Amino acid sequence: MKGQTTLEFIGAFLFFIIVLTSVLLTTLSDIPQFNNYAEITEKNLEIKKTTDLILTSKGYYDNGTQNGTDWQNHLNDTKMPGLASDEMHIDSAKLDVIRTIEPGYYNYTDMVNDLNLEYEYNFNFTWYPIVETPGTFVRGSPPSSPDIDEPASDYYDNSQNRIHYGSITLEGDTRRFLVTAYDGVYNTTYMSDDWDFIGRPVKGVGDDIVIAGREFTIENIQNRNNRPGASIIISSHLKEFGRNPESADGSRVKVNRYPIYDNPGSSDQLVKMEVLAW
Amino acid sequence: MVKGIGYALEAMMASVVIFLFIFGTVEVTSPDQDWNDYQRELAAQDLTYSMKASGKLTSFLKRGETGSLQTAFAEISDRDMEASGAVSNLPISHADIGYFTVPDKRENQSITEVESGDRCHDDLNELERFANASDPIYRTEDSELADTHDVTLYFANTNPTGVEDAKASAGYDTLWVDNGTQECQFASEDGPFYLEQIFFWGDSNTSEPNDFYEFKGIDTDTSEEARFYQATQAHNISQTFNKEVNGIRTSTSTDMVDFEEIDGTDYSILIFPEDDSITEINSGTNEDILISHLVSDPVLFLANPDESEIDNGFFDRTGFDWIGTGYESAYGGGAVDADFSPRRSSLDMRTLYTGLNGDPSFQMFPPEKVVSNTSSRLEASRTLYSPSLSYDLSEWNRTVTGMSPGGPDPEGCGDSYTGTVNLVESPPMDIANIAVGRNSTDSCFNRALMLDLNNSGTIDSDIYVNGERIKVANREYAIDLVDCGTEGECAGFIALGQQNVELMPNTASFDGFNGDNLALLGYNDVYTQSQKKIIASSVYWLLRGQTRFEGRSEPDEISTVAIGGIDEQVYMPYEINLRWSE
Repeated sequence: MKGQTTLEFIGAFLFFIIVLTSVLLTTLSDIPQFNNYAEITEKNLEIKKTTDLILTSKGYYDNGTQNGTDWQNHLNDTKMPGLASDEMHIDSAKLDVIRTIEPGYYNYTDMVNDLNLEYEYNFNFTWYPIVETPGTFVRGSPPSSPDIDEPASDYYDNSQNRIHYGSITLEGDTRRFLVTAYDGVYNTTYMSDDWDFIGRPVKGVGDDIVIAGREFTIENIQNRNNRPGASIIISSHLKEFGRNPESADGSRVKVNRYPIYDNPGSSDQLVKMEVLAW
Repeated sequence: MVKGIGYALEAMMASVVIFLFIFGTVEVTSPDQDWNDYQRELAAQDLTYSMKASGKLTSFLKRGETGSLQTAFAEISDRDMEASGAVSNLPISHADIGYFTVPDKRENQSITEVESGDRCHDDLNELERFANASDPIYRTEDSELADTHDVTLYFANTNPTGVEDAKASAGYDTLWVDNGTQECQFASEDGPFYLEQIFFWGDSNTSEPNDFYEFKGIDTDTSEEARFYQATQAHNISQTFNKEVNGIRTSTSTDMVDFEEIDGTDYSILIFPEDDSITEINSGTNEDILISHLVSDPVLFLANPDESEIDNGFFDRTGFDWIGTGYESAYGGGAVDADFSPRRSSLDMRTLYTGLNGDPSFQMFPPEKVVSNTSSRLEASRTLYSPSLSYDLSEWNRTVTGMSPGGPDPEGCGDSYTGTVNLVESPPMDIANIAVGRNSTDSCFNRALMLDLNNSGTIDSDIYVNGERIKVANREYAIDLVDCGTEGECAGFIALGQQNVELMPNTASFDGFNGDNLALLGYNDVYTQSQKKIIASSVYWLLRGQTRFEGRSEPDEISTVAIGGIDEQVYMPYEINLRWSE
């Protein structure tokens, strides 16, 4: 008779529904996790691809009649905004023309379009010059070449006997440093534009100094027990552009790259390039 | 009923298919992939590359500043990433050199308390400022030794702190030199000198050959003597260690030592000068003390040992051998022209020597007839060799003529002759010149040699044709069956091997233990600047191990490598392996 069913069929159907429901319940909780993981993977891979591109490519412009890699001088015709002057060397002139949003500059939205970025980004560049201070003399007996005039202060006179010295040139400006130690720790320095340190203030980790009009912070003075070396690490924030990371929703992925800052008048120094994507 | 079972089976199969499908789909990849490690590895690679590309890496390594490198890595990375690792091929690690003092260069000098009426009794204020007020000042007494140097030494009990190499001492530990002016005036170069420090005991206006001494000890209680080890040669050589190698700042310290100190102190390398060193090593348990050092650290000899010393005692346990031939040209002793070869060890030596601005044209003293014996046959090696002086290996050549008919005839040619050859350091050996190479006309057209190599009384070796080589008693010979005399009735043995005199035998092969490297340079009382640079180069070459630097935490699996070079007087490649932690 049409429309009839059997008890066995109903039982089997119910059994099938129960199994299907239980399987879905146990696996549905994994699906968001999988989606999240896939998104993190995509972000990491896109950051790597994007940063590789801008750190190894000089970029280019093309206006139909002429083209070249100095796109920083042809912002309206920029097709690809590479930052490199050489492999892993950031051209300071190219970095200078990038803004989050400002007329007359190459803006973040231009970068998103030219690089076809899928996610939102924030780029942060901090310069980390290393002042090498391998020179050494006994306090009170400075060398004649270079002709060092020691600070004239009780504080300096109470430092330990062994003084380190060295210099660095940044953006065409050369600064000389003396490094002094107290209680066995090299923790203070004096800076001068020549080798005359008389009257120069003493500086320590966390203090600010100015070189070529740019403000730097003393981040560290090499001081490892039983580890040879004498150097000062200073830092200066160069630039931040892109979306405000506080506006991020969803998971954020951060990747740091460490290229060299190619700046006229400066020795080669490292830059920390922090990239956030969400 | 059967239909119901069918439905149930279908439902179960469908469930299984759905189950497999869903789990197979969802579990495509593992969520355990650690992107954190990926980001750190990327950072480590960038930091390594940029440090090298910016020149910072080379700049730090030239000065041995591994600490600056570590600090820079940790500070610039916001993850406080720390590197530990190893630097290869650069002489940047600090070396503590133990320079052995032979017994006749250990000297005692009687001392006496400075008393009222002594020449400087009232003029020692400079010394008394350092000295314990309760302890008197002592001075050297007149003696042959003191008179030789024409100076007076003054001793005080001070309490030096923070003085490198100064032994913690509760007694007298400091001296000052009142030089030839004898005016009781003490400039900074006149002291204070502490125990284990080398000082100038002489008058700069005279030219004594033994002006430098190391202050070893003083006894004011019983013998009233001060002990000194002559250190002039060590001092002169150590001046070369103060020079940069290829622009690399090296760090060494030299101590004059005896076996008691060798036994109690870890030295990076030991230098044994003069043949008397060998006599001392072969005395008592000194050989064991030396070997306990050699198992982990290298040794350099500056000596001219004789054959007996090479074949007995300590050297008998090394890979060195004695090559007992004369020279091809007249040689009356002294330094000979020296050069490097294309061998890897020699190129490494050349790099170091060039890095010290060594003159390309230089001479060295042959360490007698010692050879490294590193090949399969006895011959000179060429880490450092003389292009102008050669061993006369032809002295080992032998020719046997007038051989008697008979002997083995493996190819049935019926044309064999036998004889006996006396090769060097081998018992008389029976040989047979036989006909071989039977052709289609049944004639044998070639000659060959068979030997009684195992001295069994039967000539049963393989067949050697003209020009083939055999090795007997560690010597290799080319067989000559053509130009030895009457063909068929003679046999020639022409010794083969490198003949140029070896100037720096070296070995890492030892009988009964695994050891570091051992090298031997010829000894002379006075070395030229070039020769001192060769000695310094050989020390750096022997110390060619890696320089390791550790971080504060255990490194994880992330590692990077940078290969670079320091291009000053010579291109000196280096490799740095970094392991990262955070």
